[in-house]
Amino acid sequence: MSVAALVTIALLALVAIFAPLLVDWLSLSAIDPDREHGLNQYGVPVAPSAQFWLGTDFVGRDVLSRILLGARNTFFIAIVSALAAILIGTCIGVIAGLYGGIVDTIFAAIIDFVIALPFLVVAMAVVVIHGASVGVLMLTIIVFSWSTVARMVRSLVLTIREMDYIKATKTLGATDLRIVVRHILPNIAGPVLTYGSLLIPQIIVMEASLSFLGLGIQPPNPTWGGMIAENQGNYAIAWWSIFFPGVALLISTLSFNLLGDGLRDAMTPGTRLRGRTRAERRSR
Amino acid sequence: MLRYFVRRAGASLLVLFLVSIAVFSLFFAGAPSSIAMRFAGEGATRETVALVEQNLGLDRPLPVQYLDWVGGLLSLDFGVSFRTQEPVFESIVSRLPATASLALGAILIAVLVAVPLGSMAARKPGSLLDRTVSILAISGLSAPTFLIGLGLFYVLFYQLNRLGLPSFPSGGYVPIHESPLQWFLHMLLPWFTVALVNIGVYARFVRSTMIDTLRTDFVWFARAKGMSERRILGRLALKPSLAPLITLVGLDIGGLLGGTIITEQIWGIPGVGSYAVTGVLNGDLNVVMGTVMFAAVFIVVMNLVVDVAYALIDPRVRLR
Repeated sequence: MSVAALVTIALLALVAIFAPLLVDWLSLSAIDPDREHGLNQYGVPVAPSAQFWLGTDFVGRDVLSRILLGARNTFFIAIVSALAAILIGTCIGVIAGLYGGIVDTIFAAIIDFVIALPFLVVAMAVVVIHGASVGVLMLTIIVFSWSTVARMVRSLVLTIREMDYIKATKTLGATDLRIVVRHILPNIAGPVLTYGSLLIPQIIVMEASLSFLGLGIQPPNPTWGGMIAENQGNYAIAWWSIFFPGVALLISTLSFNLLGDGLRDAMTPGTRLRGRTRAERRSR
Repeated sequence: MLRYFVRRAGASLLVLFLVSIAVFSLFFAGAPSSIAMRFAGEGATRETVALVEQNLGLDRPLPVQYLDWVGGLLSLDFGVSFRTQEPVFESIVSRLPATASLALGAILIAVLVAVPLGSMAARKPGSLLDRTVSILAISGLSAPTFLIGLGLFYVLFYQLNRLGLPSFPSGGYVPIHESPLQWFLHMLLPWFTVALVNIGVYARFVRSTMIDTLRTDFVWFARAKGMSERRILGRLALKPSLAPLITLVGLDIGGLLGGTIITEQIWGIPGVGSYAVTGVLNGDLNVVMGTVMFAAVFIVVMNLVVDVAYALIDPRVRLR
């Protein structure tokens, strides 16, 4: 299962990277409406056919081309935000766990505070106040994602720090930096990697939900959530323009979740699925 | 126990204080002039904007505005909506029954389905049922709520209606005191929109805690004494396996009560979430800040309730 998921992710990544080339090769309208070919004489979107493999959307754009370009946007946002969230979360988690005391108390309060913020309302408000741009979108997602990483890393560091070999290294005169780089980071790499592959689908869902509410990447630039939102009213006459972006979205999130589950099972047999509670279902 | 409670309650207050500062600086201090400009309308003169600023009290020093705002929050005065002039707190409270019906009903359904499902899966790990549970859990996590909602709408409303089987209402909300039956029918699809995400997750959670419980000595002892497998699963092992679920369910309820935005949006339910969306889209600051604070209070309070409930159940927690 996990191997299949990994292969799917690799394929999706290739699609995302080469999306513009693929769209050129299809040479159909992805951004500009094509009312002549993309809509029939009544102005109704064209169903999947030899020309438009997955049909067209409400203004006559090719759904497949838009899904391909959407993959690029979705993957870029998800992967960059996840990396940033993991980097920030790991740094803060290591500092809080290693030094303890007042530093730890402060960081713990900040983590609790981020978790107490309702994601969608705050994200919507931020986007409305500061305008919808990729940067604002990613920043909002990162602010809401690092806290769970930090919480997990902190608790891992708390146990590792008490290990005898760490005390031994300390006695031998190792600096904090050396302990972190040589001993702590390699020890937490596995769980962090696992969490990362579970964080990516969460971010994809967050981004799609914001796009669905019309607050993500602005049209005509396509995202999957946005495509579903803009074709929502056409469910009776053009199901394909909602169905296929939905399928693309589900395939991606499923693959990452399956990969994450596989990684977790491989690394920690008999885990209890703790820590994956509220944060991952925020975007309701 | 009291000490533990006081400590946790203090921490919760601190978190709420941080949230209030963040919300205030993010929404208010961030862009006061643009707020006044939005209210004055496009093409307003500088004098009009200044007048609006004065009317809304936006020209006062920020700390004064903050204290004024927090003071209002504490006396349950969230200000009035800039757009409709209705008090925000009253509007939120009047919309709470819709959101509460949705949140509590959905969680109830999820728990009622997930607990038996998870327990049965735990009995035979690796069985067909067990694999179904884990597929359900992963699909629930992978599918955005709006996709589930649209899918339910398309299949259970649109297709059934097209076949001439008028079944479910397409959306909207009927208060329970007006017509319990209509309330139930209107809530059914929204409930499942939320519950479908949670069923798999809860079931998988119950499964894993149940597997742990089934390995404990007291279960083996009961088995050795001849207790039936059914009674073990249904009674003996159920209680200790459900305790950790309280955390999950409590936090979810807290999050949902603050507004089930997407579900309310799809099914046209006039709840707290749709109020927040209108506020955001209208740039109605008091509404946005009010709904965010309201949601944050629910999340923090449920966090506290869950911690305290857990400490009551498991005394070891108090000593940590």
